[in-house]
Amino acid sequence: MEFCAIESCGKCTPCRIGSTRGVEVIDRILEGLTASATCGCWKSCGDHGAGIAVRAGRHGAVPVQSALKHFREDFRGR
Amino acid sequence: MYAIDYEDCGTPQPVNGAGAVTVEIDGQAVSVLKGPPSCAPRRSPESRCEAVRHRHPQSVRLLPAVSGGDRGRKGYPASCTTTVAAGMKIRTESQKLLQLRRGMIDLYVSDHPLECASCPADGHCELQDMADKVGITASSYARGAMHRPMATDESNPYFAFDPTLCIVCSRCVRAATRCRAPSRLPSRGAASSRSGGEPGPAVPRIRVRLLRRVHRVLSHRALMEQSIIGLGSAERP
Repeated sequence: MEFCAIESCGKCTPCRIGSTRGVEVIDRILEGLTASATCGCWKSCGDHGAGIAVRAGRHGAVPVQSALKHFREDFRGR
Repeated sequence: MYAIDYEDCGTPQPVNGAGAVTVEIDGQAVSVLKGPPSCAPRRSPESRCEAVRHRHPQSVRLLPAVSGGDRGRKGYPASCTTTVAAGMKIRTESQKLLQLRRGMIDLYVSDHPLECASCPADGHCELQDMADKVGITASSYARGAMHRPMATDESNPYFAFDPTLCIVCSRCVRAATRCRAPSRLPSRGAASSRSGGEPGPAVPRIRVRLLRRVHRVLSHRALMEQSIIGLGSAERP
């Protein structure tokens, strides 16, 4: 996500702000804070990719969304 | 901040459009010129659908839905990058769109100080209007990194530019581009970056005229007349 935040050209809001917020949300997940709320926040954040014009921003959230979808139990307890 | 008498009519239709096509907007057929972003015909004067009267801050960013139609597009492509095509069916209101707009405004306000009560643009701010409309009063994200924590640029005697309030809607850039003077914007390096660095005598007048024009299309307070800041409100008591 840090890569996406750096690569964002800043033209589309979901990518420009969303990638930065995405990094912060993941940091909080890794710190073990408010896992469920944070994951919900992430899902909301990732949903905005639909409106992004370029591929880098549109698909930046996909790996984390996939991890949340398929390995949800790994995020519990954090 | 938009002017009190300003009515946002969206992206203007191109002068040299490539023929008219008919699209369906919220169930009503509307004839528009081919080529403009799909956010344009929503606000064309001849259209009578409810969506026309529906204000969107950052018309390029707020994801009016474009779905179905002959092109068989799926999902919610952004209206700013999707041009109209014959047979396209556009929906501007749905539960999913409300959800997407809420998320988008949530992101906007996470990077914008929410001090509306003390803001001179209070009551004339499209961002504020839209946040009220979708029910956002505070960002659900923890306060994180903000863009451009810079001091207010008050070098212009008539206008002040506060970069921390800018939501990068690009309206000022587009308005200035239409005037062929983007380099004179306060956020783009201003006239000092032009040849010689010292603006000629005509530049300030042009700049003020340009800024007034740009000022009218802005959706919030980032660029504001200093007189309004001095008054504290856009309306005289």
